[in-house]
Amino acid sequence: MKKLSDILIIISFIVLIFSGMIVTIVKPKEDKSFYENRMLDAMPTYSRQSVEDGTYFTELEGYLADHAAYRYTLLKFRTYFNEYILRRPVVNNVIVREDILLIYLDYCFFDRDELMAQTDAYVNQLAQLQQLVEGYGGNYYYVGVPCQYAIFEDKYPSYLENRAEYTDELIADFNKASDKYGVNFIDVGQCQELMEGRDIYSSKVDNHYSLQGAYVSYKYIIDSINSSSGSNLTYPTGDEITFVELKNNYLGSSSRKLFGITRITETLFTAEFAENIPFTREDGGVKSYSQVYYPPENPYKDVMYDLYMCGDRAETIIKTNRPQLPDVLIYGDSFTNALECLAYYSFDEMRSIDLRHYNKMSLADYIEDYKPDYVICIRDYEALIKTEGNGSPFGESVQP
Amino acid sequence: MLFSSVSFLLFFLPSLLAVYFCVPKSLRTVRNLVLLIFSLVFYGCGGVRFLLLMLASITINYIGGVLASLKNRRTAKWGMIGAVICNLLLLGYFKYIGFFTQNIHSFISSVPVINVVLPIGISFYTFQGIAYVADVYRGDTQAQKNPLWVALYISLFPQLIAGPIVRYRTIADEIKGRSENIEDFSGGCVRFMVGFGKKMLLANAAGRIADIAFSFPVEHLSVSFAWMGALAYTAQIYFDFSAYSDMAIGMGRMFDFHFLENFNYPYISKSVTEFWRRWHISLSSWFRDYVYIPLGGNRCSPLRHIINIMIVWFLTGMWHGASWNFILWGLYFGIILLMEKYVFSGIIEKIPSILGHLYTMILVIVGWVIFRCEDLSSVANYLGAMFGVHAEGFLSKQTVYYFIQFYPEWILFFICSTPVVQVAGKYLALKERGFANFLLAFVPKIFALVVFILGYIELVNGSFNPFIYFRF
Repeated sequence: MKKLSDILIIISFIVLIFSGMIVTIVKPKEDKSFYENRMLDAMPTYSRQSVEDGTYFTELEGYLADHAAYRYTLLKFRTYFNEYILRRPVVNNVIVREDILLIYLDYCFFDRDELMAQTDAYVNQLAQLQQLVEGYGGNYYYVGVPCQYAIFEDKYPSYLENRAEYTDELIADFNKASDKYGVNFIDVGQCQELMEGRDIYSSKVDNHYSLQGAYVSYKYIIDSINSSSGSNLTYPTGDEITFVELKNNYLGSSSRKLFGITRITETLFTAEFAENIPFTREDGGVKSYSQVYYPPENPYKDVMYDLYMCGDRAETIIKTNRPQLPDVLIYGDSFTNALECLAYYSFDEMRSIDLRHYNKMSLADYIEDYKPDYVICIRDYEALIKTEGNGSPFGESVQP
Repeated sequence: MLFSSVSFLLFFLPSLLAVYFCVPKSLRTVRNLVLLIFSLVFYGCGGVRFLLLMLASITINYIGGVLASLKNRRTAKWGMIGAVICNLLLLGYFKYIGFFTQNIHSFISSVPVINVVLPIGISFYTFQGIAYVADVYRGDTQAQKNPLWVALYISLFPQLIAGPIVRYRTIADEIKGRSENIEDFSGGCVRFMVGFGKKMLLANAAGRIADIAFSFPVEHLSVSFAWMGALAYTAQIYFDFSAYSDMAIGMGRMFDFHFLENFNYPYISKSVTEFWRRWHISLSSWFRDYVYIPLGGNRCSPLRHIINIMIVWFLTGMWHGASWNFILWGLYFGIILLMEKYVFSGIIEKIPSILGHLYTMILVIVGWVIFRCEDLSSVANYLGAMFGVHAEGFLSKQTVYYFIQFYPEWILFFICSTPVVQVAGKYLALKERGFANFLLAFVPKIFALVVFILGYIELVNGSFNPFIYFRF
């Protein structure tokens, strides 16, 4: 019996390592890991220097690990095992609760004075941008949107970080600094309708709001602009807008990290206006289809947040040819996407830029060039005072 | 190249096995050459330039061995001393020159700090070389006349980068004539797979917790989380180090080399003295045989014995890394061992086992904190947190989270630190019944296969997979 077991274990071991080698060599190589949402390591380039100092072999190991045999299947198994067998509270950086998937947040320690100083400096920069916009008669608004962790703070287990204290402090500081510098700050977190209807308005599998959440936020923003500036911007209400549910399963950022292995399912919506508003669309100066929703080809494919506006784009211009309406420039991170699907309703021309991708000129130069009636920045609480990307309106080299 | 890497597991090892076992058993020299070439390639993957250093070490020890074996004892002595000095110079330059110049620089700023990249495994193969030459000089083993076989001994890849420190006499006969067989190969596979799983599943999980705790802002570190971090590091260093030894011993057996055990459940010790008999046995015995005994051991006056012990532990600390905290760590254990010898020996023998375990583990854990921290102020801060100097309270949410998140690992840390499985195996072996035989034959192998596959999943997940001996 011992001899038999010896032979069987040798065969198993040999088969595993040899088949691993062969499969790793012959399997087609991919550039990107969809579920991990990252680029896979590329085959390193040989150089004498890199071989001599060992960096070639280090990079080769990264490449082989990313393209190793059975990797994708095994990672799915690992996710399932951790989620359903071991029932770990956090799997692949996602907090798995009965009714929601939350993003895992590192434990957060902050110095209140430092945060205030940081916020003050950031808002001061916004004040200068607002001054620039108001200089030619435009209106500037900086909008803070609560992201999933801020909306569902109470869903976090008590032993995990939900950043509640930090968020409260940040918003309080931001309000103070906005008052000090006269910056028009709209805090969508104050929108009662959004917070009370959070189960509909915020995603349970993603960090973003739903389209209905974007709509409620949009209404709140327009109402705030109208009441503070005396503008008369409109948005669709009641029968003027209909939300249509897609049949596709929504693969949010959290469910994606879990390789789609979750009991929590969700769908996405599109919206139809009762009034037909024809428009043209350009992306990065190139004419594209006149559409703001990009659903999958069939109902069996997963749909992602890039349903809205086709995801993050450097520059998008939507023209509705209604010259009686004002123009708007919206900039910000991905929270702008769902909102823009609705926002063109209120404007003649809507431009959208994302400074994480747009690099032709600084935002300040863009505004001076374009001079829109309204400039609206939309950032979620997590990115509210981050100075990179959309937090750098004067460009890195021309920070005031 | 690390054992816990895809390049090793799926490319290096299968290629070596294929080439090695294609060579007929009768062509021992060719098989040895295959092993030598693969071992040099293995080392060269860490940087081809370090191969030159390895070749220098081989040359020094080959010549040293030949000289040390001469009948003229005076020449032999100088041959041995020369080889030891050359070995120590290489080690001193590559490992300690930065530390020494840094310290001198802090007093005399005109002295430049020399930064040298530390070649991986240099401490291990240097000590092997010294042991070889010293053993030849003492007549404990014969000098190897074939330089290729000295090269094979020094560079043999299983024990090259993380030990165990293998004595030449342990494998001298096996280099010349060994007989690979199914039983050894199977045993080697099982040992390798268990070691691999141990590293990927236990050591890396423990390392994740330890890294978080040790990098946590000390003012926010609760007492419980500080202890949890220290415990996690205690688990990490044991499972990581013993896993490498398991893999090394396992791979050795695949090629019919039989390395001595390096760990013997050190965390079940009832005294620190016992702990050091069970921990990194190859290093402890190296220091015993080549430093402690030549210094006079314990067959001398108590004062001289104390000095000998402190020298050995100062060097043990230094061996682990060029940093003050390693020296402190070595001296810390030196003092404890002296206390156990001269002050507490009667008490330790009489106290209940559980208290002995507790006492030992507390001292060992504190020792690992000294070892893990990067400088002396970090040591003070972390130990302060463990003993409640900072005002963050006893329990924190981090403690709760890292306990719940890693609960399977915590259970396994405890079980795998004890010889429970070994005892169960011995119990079954006594039964001598059909089913017990079946269990004994198959269960350990199936278990090894499962942990190997789970370990491979962790490997391709590409997450945290540190190599903690880079400073050794």
